[in-house]
Amino acid sequence: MNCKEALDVVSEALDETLEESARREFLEHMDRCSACRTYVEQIRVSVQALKSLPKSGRPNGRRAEIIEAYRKKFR
Amino acid sequence: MNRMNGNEVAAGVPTPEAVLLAKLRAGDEAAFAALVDGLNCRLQALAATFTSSPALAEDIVQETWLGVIRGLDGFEGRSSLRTWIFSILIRRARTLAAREARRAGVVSANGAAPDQEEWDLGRGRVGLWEAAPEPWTLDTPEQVVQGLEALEIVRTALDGLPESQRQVVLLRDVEDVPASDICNILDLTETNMRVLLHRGRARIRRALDLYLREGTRPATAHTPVQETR
Repeated sequence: MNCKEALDVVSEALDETLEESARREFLEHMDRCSACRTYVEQIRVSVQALKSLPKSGRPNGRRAEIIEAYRKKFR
Repeated sequence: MNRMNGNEVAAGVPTPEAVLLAKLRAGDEAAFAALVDGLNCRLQALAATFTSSPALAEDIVQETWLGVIRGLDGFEGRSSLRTWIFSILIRRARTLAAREARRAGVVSANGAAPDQEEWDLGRGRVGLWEAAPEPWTLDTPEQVVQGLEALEIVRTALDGLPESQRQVVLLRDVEDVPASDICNILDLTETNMRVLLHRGRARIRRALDLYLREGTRPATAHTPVQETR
């Protein structure tokens, strides 16, 4: 696997969905290429940051209407 | 024949999702309100990928909940409840955003300017080997995810992604929806989904890279849209 091929499968590698043989080739490439190693590590941290984003936000202005619609269904 | 899935009782033990679904179908208002409160801002974020109008995004979310209320009895549990709700949103969003775009005479509501992708399938990372990435000087990668400012950078970069990348990254990384479900609800082939996901992730990395190495903050992706409706 060269750099180009390794980068094509970065997301699969990080999501651990690579097939065994591809995974082995990917890891071998990572062992010998420090540029790819740095890049993949940074993508991994970026994904980690995305997963850590707060999921709260401003309250829904239409909450009462939505709950009322639900209530009506069971009236 | 008895069909088993994640929302039915397996070996006599109902899953938490099956319990929730039973409550929702029985008219348990508190359970429904908790579902709305837990998911609403996340639906809002997904709706915002289809339109730059906050009012239209609210319409999309409201219609999604109405769709959920109507569809509860017919929900077959082929995906998780959350994925099902996301899929309703995406169908409603496409219809409403297209209608709005026709009304406003614009082709697409995508506010992000197309620029050169950092990565393309089969082409590698554009320009990577002219300048190899420099390591970030962090004691631990967790520093990034713990820093509020860095998370703000990530949020801004996410908001600035082209809409199709933003949808995939939001669903996959922020919401942790399984890749196969994303292909289904966004109507994407696996390859397309993977390309969009990785392009989006590459842009997030680039924003973090600029911030961590040079202290550069990305420009705010969206200027507030004046309310006209």
